[in-house]
Amino acid sequence: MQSCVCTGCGCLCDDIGVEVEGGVLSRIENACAKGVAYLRSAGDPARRPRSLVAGREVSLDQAIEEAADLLSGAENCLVFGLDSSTIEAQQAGVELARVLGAVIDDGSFFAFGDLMERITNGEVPTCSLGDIKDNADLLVYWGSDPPHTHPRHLSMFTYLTYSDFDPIGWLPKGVKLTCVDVRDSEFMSVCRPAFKIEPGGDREFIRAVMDAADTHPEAAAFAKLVGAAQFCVVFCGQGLTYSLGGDFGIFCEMVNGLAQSRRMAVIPMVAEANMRGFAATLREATGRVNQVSFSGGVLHGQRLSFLEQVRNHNADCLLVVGADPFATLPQGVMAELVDADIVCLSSFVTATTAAADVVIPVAVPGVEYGGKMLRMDGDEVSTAGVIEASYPHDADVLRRLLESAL
Amino acid sequence: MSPGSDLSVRILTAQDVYLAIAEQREGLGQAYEAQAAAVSLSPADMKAHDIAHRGNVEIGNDCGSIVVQARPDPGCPQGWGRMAASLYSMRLAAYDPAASLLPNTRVIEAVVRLTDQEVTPVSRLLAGSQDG
Repeated sequence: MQSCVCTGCGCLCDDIGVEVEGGVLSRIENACAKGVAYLRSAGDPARRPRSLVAGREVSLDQAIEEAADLLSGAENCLVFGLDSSTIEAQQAGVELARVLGAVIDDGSFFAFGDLMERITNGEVPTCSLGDIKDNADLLVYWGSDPPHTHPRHLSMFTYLTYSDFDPIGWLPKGVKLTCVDVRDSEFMSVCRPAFKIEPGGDREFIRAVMDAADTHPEAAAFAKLVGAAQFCVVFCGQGLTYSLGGDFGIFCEMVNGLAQSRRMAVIPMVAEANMRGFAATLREATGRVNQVSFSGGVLHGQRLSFLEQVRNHNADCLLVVGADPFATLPQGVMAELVDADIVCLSSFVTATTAAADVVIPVAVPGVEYGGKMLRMDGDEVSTAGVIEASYPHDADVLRRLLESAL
Repeated sequence: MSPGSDLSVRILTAQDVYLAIAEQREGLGQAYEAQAAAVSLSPADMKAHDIAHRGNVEIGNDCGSIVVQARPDPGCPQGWGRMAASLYSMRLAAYDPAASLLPNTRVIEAVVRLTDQEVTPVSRLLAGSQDG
């Protein structure tokens, strides 16, 4: 057995055991079903893209040359993604965007609004997932459904890792598990207590918690629960992001208020393997975590978000790296790209590879090559390839594109 | 409400681990379609509108329309629906920066009506397809 880091989601589970036979993973231990599907599909030729130009299969070199021509010939390039790439590839991607004078963005604003920037800037307390076991006494999953998004989150890092169990109920002792959500879910049924709120009601709920309002019994009960805790960790999901319209100001105000009397920590439930790494990489280069333009210096702002750029037809060439915006963003907006050239670097066949003019297949990070990544809590995790890649690393492709652009 | 009349719903979308696994294993194929081309509705709404279990319904709004299977969900309140976040729900999703800086992919207003049409093939939701 070799050890392997699963890069299927932001948990970056580092206890995966694999056996390799004939260049594919023949046995996988410890991974969740989502992780197994991800790791196994690396060895499935039907799931891997081919080098394509205008739908025609070409050599890898031809695809890279065509991509370089499109990027160099474009007036306004838009670079999107990199959330699943290693930090080394992210650095190459940011440098390529700089040289091209491009706009660069990732999926972090769509997933977490301004929370990523606030966490990175230290405006709200956070902690390592490693600090939680046996220390945190209240775990709040807010607008997130970990069994569906991060199946091992509870057993790898939080509720089910605690050392001391109640022998009657087989529940961890000394810690409470709760959630705030708009839906009745299987996860909600195991939380004691759970807080069900109306869709879009998170802001009102937060305000009532801050005001200690008796008029909102659910919020009062939540405030009481947190009031009794010594160390509370809040895991934020996209449900909260969308309810707040991406503005986490009032949420951070609540957390910082609660942190006056106890330890509080906020961790975003990042879906992609290295979204935190992208935030750190871009911040190091520009002082910002997303929505940056290198056109005439370093600019930042909402008008530079991926969707705004697409909606306003600002880009004539789009470079997508390891992301699938054609599957995860409104199709009506993505249709605005009809006149733009699209270059896609991807490890798998996706809706975006189907839409791209140039497809460049790349290796699967953590399986076919290694590098550094930041887990959802910001802790660094080193990944190493366990099978020999027959595809190039995205970092190498990006460096080749960079050389062509210089 | 009368049988066969339009049903106005707000559709909550969420990540679905079974859909994620299907997509990772087989791509945008039949397993993906079976998981994604479905809407869960309140049993009371389905009864009031004569919508059969696994009956096909057209869901539409200003952004577009899709045909999916309807499934009863006792946990779903009347006037609400649930779908996995997928290419199907993204056909109905909007982006209006005047209303929100985020795309409207989570709570989607739409109208559900009975239809004899077949479930929308996932291939027709891809960019560059006939309808994509």
